[in-house]
Amino acid sequence: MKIKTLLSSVAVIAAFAQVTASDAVVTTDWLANNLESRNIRVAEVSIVDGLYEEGHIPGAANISWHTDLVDNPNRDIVTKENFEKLMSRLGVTPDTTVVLYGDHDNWFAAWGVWIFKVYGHDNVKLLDGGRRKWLAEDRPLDTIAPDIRPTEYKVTQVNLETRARLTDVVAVAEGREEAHLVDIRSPDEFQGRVFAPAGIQELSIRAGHVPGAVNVPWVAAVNPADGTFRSKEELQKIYADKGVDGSKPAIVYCRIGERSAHTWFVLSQILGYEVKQYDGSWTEYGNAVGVPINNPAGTVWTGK
Amino acid sequence: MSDASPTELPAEVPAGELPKSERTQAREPELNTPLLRVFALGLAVVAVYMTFRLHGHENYGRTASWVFLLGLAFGWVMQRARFCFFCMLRDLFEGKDSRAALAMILALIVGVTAHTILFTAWIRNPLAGHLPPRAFIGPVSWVVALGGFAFGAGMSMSGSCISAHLYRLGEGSLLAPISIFGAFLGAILGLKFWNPLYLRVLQDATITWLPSWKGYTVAWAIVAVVLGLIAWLLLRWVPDPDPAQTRQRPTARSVLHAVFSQRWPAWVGGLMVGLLSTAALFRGQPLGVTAELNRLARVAGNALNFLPERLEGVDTFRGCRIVGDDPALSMNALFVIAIVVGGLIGVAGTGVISPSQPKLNAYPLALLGGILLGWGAYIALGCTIGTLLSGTHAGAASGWIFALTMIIGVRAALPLRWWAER
Repeated sequence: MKIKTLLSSVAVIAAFAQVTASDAVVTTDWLANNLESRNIRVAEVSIVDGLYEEGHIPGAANISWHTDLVDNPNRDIVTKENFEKLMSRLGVTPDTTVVLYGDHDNWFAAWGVWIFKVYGHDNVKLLDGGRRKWLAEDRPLDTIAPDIRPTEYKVTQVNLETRARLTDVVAVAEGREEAHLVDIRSPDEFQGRVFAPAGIQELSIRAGHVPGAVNVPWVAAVNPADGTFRSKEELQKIYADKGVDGSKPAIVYCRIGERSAHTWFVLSQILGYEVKQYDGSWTEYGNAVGVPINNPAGTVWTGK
Repeated sequence: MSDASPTELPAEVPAGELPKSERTQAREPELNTPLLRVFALGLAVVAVYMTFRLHGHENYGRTASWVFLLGLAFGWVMQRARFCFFCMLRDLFEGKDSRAALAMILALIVGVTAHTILFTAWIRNPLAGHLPPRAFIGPVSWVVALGGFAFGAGMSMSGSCISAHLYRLGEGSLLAPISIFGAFLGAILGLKFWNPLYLRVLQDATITWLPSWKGYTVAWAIVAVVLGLIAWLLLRWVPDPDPAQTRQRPTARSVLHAVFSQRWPAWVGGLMVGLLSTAALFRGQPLGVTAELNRLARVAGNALNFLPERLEGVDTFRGCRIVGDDPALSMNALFVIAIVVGGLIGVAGTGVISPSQPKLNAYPLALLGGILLGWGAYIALGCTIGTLLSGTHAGAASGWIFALTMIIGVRAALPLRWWAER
């Protein structure tokens, strides 16, 4: 039995190493085998309300992006105090491996990873393929929230170097700082043909992109079939083809700063580049007064 | 409509109308006082208060609170409805009275149906090879069959299964503590047997979940048809209704009397057990009464240096296995305590306690039968509750095998029961 256990754990580790793009990511197989581990806390971060309640990975807790990871009513990331409260509620200690997953191929789960890293909890991973892959594999769901014994979590360091502010981006746009700017929105938004995708409420009254930015829509990083990240080599090539090769620090942005966390995750956690996530993104930049904008389509805001 | 409780039957009732298991033991002068009802009410208040305390307690929480509450309800329902697997089979084999057996069938079909509804939310495609969370779906091999047979024989020898011994503690049974102690010794023996059984058999045994074969509909339909056929066969042994009993308009007084004083009709127990089992899976953990017994057995066995240091592969199975070495009250301990308290509330609520006076022969058999109960339940990863009830409800083939061999075991050892009561 000892040998069998040993072999199976070797197999798990091997599968883990082969299938995922990096150790910042775990496979559905690995997670299924480790669900009962005491040192792991799984949490769902989905955009769509009610998905967690409808059914989630057994034992997973729920993180509500709209209330747990942002600082309402200010437009800011969650405060350190509230992050500590969240982690305590999740029963997390500094040694706990947190695995996040969510809908839309982990958009907001990736934002969650970013927040965890900002507040110094490095032991955080994404479930490769997220909620979509777990469901596609017909894996078990549960409908009850786990009983978690709360902890007293304390943040010991805050890493704001992974966060870009408006002034950082303007400095790059005006050529005072060197960085790759990566705009992960759709080509239509990037080109300035539309202000925002159809049906979207949060708008900017200018169209276009930050001068110097390259456009690599977030979806380029995932395999369309199951939402898993592409291999490290493929990812390297996709971004290098647009000039983003890790030779300079990069800044990623999108419309409101969440999907860009997905690309931030790819560039920083999988490819190991130095990357900042600009959470103000286009709804801040495109509304700011006196900043340079590149608008190839020339669309003008007419108040409609 | 209602079964008369044995204590309420007039003396001239023909013996055949009284289930044999209830009539064979001479009765002591009973304790009959309204104070018992006050005690029951007080105990119920304390028990409900405990569920709230558990809910807010930092070491326990919501799940523990639910487990405790469900244990209270389970013990109370079992006591009120005489939901006892051995009594059911004995009524059938000896008294040709199938009412309790039909109640058991009802418990099975209600539980299977309600579990199926839950599972469709948790496992969208049962053919995909994953098991539903928590459910007790155990390995299929001759080990569970042997465990079931031993357990059944233990039931005949000791007079009931472990769960019924638990609620009978509250009824003042003198044999129940002996049998439960026997089950504790049996569990130690079971632990001793575990490693060889695991390495030779269980490690390669398949874990069969019925819906994984052709889906939920087929699995449910097979169970429904089989249970329906058995129920149809059993109908012939339903006794004629008592002509003396007239239906009257219920009053508040008669309803209270029916709920708290009279034995419930067996089918009410069956219905409620089917629902409680589903609620347990949904809100806490599947019903099961031997995990804590096994844990205590392991502690004792280790202290005596009688057991191997490591139990191989137990963690890979679902069922009444030992979880953790937490010295505080485990979930299962809470559940078992709650069953005893629920049974006590049930019996004290009638206002009458009449402990039975067993014959001398019954004492050694209570111990020996208890050992078989504990041993069988250990190797089968559960007893009539964890493996049979929770297992069959969850669609576990292992639960059905246990049920079958348990019935054979009960029948085979029934002559020993007759000897015990001679």
